[in-house]
Order: sequence, then structure tokens, then C-alpha cells
Amino acid sequence: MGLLENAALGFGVALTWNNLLYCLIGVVFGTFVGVLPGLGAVTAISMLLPFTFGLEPVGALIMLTGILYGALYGGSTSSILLNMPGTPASAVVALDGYPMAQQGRAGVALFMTAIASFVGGCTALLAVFVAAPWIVSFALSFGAPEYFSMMFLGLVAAAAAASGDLFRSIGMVLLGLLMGLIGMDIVSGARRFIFGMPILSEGLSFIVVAMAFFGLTEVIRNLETKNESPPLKPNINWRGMLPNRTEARQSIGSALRGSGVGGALGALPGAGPTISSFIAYMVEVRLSRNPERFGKGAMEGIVAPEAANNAAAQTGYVPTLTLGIPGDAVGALILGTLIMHGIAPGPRVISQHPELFWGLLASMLIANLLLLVVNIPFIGVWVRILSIPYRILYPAIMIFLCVGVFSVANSPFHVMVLGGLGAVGYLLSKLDCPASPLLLGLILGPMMEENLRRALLISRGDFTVFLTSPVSAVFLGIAALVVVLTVVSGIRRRRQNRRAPATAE
Amino acid sequence: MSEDVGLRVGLFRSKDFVTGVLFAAVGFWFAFTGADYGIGSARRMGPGYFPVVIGGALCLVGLGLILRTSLTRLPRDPTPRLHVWPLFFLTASVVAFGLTINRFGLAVACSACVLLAGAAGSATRWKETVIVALVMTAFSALVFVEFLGLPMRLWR
Repeated sequence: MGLLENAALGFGVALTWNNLLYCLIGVVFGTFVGVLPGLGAVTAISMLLPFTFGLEPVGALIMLTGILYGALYGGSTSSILLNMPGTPASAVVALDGYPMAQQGRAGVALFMTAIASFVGGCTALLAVFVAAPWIVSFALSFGAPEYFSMMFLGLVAAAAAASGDLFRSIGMVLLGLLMGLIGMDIVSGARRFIFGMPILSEGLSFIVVAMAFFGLTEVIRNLETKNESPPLKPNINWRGMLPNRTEARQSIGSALRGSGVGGALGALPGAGPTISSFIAYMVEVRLSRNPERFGKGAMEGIVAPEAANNAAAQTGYVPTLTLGIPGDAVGALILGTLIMHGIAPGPRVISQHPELFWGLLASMLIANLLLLVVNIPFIGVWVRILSIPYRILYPAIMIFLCVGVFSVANSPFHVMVLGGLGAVGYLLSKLDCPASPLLLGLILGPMMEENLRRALLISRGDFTVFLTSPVSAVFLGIAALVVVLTVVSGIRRRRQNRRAPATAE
Repeated sequence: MSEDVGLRVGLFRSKDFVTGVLFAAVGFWFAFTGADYGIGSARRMGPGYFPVVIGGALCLVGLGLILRTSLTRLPRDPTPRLHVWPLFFLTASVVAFGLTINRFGLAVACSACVLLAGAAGSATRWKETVIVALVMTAFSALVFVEFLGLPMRLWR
């Protein structure tokens, strides 16, 4: 199939009235949740996931994509206006966006992030259209050992990408893998780790875990501090939103560079939007003639990371859909949704469900467009949402979490599990353990076990099969390299920290 | 010089130590329980094989954390205090929803959830919270039950 045929098929699906509506609803709700401080894309998706249960798979995925884009953009809004990033990815945007807001240039910052998102999304989409079939033809030759090693690499990369301590993030990956084992073992039918509760033999729903660790835990953490943040009243009007000519010129290059960085890194398993927006920012600082402007409201400092962020979100779908390996927690949720709708992710998705794959890609472009259309006129509305005090918001969030979890299986038991896991998530987050690696492990756990079993069954228990297959060996080699690099940079940072107090004395 | 700084927080109260013990204990439990399911061999794995390997690995990671913080000369981070108040009331609010939804219906469950959640925050103004409870109940009835058709009854 040619590129044009694929595109035509995709837009044919995406441009139906129903799917356009789902996309619009997703973008609006996603932005709404994303704007709320402290709630990121993962929370937005898991909170709004129940709304997609009634839809057919294509519609559900299109709506989720809309939610993701909206949430990413909304996250930048709260970063810029309040310096309260909802996601680590949008934390970078706060570096220069918040100073801009303080200088009274919030309007232009919000306008430019909307444009940058659009540019990032469109650039990455082109890359995906071209690259996806190529990756698929490569992946079709994969057997169980290759899949196992690829998932291994994905988990290692996710652990390395999580900020902080490698020990903790590896621990969280392993904990996630173990939690994924709860329930019925597919091969033997044995029930494992069900704590005497037969209802657990279906396994722990990833939605419940995501809502507990990203929703409930966040609410508990936000209530720790007593003082409410003072609502900000930025002055936003149409004229204040347009950039002047030099700013516009500076931004074009930044947006394209950001898209390139984000698009390339987003496709790597485990890298995801966070890392790519950081790297895009660093690239801009390095390339700039006067790097001292950064951190004080430089336009490039918001445009490049925002473009990278969106581009990475887009290319991140490629490994999720074609290989079944999610790059980050968002990918993990998308993957879980696919499985829930009875679609096995993997290289065969494109040939078996072409309307789903190409339709989804096309709807990404439409989501980007809608984002622009919805957000620029409504920036003022989003800003007003920010002035709702948290004491009113969080009880409403609690209802969304409870109803959402309840509707996963219409079972009050899941709601109880949400409560318990929320407390566990709070404890872990107090101990600085990142939640994203856990979610990734949870979803990959059963698949990893299955592929490990199959690989060793075929090789008759010979573990060297993972090294004699060249593709698998390469994956494991990269994984080893990632570990070594992370450890080395960690040791270097510790040394520096150690030197710093000594010189201060 | 820097050796003395390291003794500010005792080993047992350091964040790394507590995390390590937690990981090691959970990993050990999974590995120990998993061993009962039948390990099998690498060629024919039993249902216990993977849990034992992963649980064992988690246990090792935990021990590694303990070892690292025991040997370090750098100042250790203390284990932070848990804020029990919001933790308790927010968990209670979720559990209350779960307990009441099938027995008394959505109206009671929503109200209980919002009011208990309100107790969790220190900035709560009760008049507002009661209004939020009413609005959220009406919203849920309208959107979740009427519009989305989720199988929940308003009253029971």
C-alpha cells in the first residue's frame, strides 16, 4: 500500500462525524483536566477512560488521543501561569514560561505553545506515516526471544528515564511486574497471589492502578500543604497574544528543531516526552547566541520543548501500536485500552486493523488542528478554570476517580482496591519511588512472562537463545549500555554533590 | 570532615534504608509465595518460575539500597513524615463510595465521598463542600447514569 492510500484510508475514518465529535470531546476534556494544576496526562487519560468504554475501538482510541493532546497542552498552560506543572514534560516549559507570565507576557506564551504543539505534532505525524510500515516489516520477523529482549530494553529504558535513583526505578519496574502477575496464569491456569480473593483472578486492572498512583496519590500529596496558592489574574487579550516579528522569527527554527528532537526520541521505548522536552531545551540553550536569556522568559525556551513534547507523544504511538511496547505511562494506558478492546498490539495491527491504525494517525492531525481551534479562542476560559480553588476541585476529582474505577467492571471491589493502592502509592511517593516504571511493568509483566516461557520452550531451556539471535542480542546490548551510562552519570552527580558542600565550608 | 556530616540521620531512619527494607520484604514475599506454585525448569516453566526470579530480583534491589546507604559517607535523607490526616480521610472517602454504591445508590455514595474528602483538607469550608456534594451528585446522575448509561442506580 502506498503512502497516499494509507493517508486516504486514515482520513476517511477520522473525518466521519462521530469520530470528529469524539476527537473534539477528547481535546476539550483533556485540556480541562490538564489545566488543573497537579493533574497530568496520565491522570487525565485514566480519569476519562471510562467515558470511552461504550465506544468502538477506533472511536475510543481517537478520543484518548484527543485527551492526551489536550492534557499535554493544558499542562503547559498551568506551568506557564502558575509554575505548577502537571507533568514532568511540561516542567521544562515552566522554566521560561513562568517568567514570561510574570512579565505580563502570558498571552503570547500561551499562543506560541499552541502553535508549537501544532508544528511538533504535524512534523512527527509525517515521520510516523513514513516510518511505521518500515518498522512493522522489521518487527514481523520477531519471535519470542526478540520480543522478550525488546520488552526488557523498554523496561530498562523506562527505569533509566525516570528521574532520580536507578535503584528505586528498577525496584518499581520489578514491583510492577510482580503486580502484573496477580491473577490467573494463562499457561497453567493456576491462580497466583490472589490473597484468597477469587475476584482477583482476573488480575489487577491497570486502570485502577493508574488512577490510584497518578490520581489518588496526587490528591493526597496536594493536601499535605496547608496554604492554597493565590489565584493569578493574568491579563489576556487578543493583541497581547501575538508575538512580535523577532520573536516569531526566532520561534520557527526552535519549533522545527524541537519537533526533530522530540520525534526522534519519542519513538525510542522508554524515552517519551519528558526526556525529549528536556533535551530540546538544552539544544536551544547550546545553540543560542546569548544563552543567558534562558530561564528569564526566552521564547525559544518554551517553543522548542513544547514542540518536542507533542512530537514525542506522537511518535511514541509507533512502538506502542506496532511492537506492543509502550514508551511511557501514557503509552501503557493506550496499550491497555487496546487489549481491553480485544486488539492484540503488535506488527499485525496494521494489516489486521488498517482502519484503526491509519485512522488513529489521521485523527492525531485533526486533534492537533482542533487543539489550535479550541484553545486559542478559549485561553481566557482555561485561565479562569485555574482560579477555581483546590478545596472545591479535589472532592470533584474524587468522584471522577470513584465512578471511573467502579465502571471498569461495575464492581465496588475495584473501588476498595483503589483506596488501598492509593495509600500504597502515597507511601511509595513519599519514599521518592517513581510511579511510571511501575505502570509500565504492570502492563508488560504478563507479556514478558509469556514470551520468556515461549522462548525457552523452543530453545529447550537454553538461555543463550537471547544472545544467539542477533536482534535480541542488540536489544540486550543497548539495555546494558543504558544501565552503564545511567550508573556512570549518577556516580558523577554524586561526586559533584559531595564536592559542593566541601567548597562551601 | 564530611564523615561527621553523614551521621546526622541514623541508618534506620534514613529514606534509603526504609525503601530498601520495603522492597526486600515485598520481593521476598512474592518469591517465597511463588515458589509454592511450582517452579518447574527453564524449559518447562511452572507458574512459580517468573515470580521467584522477579521477586528475588526485587529483594536484591532492596538489599542493594540497604547496603548503599549503610556504606555511604554522605548525609542521609531522613524518612519523611506521613501526613496521616489527608491519607486517612481520602482513603476513607474512596472506601465509603465503594461500600455504599451498591447498597444505597449513587446519591448516598457521592455525598459520602465528597463529605469525607472535604474532611481531608485543611482549607475546607463546609458550606462550599455541601454544595459541591449536591452538584457532583446531580452531575453524576445526569452524565454517568442518564447520558453514559453506566449501570448505577441513583437510589436504592
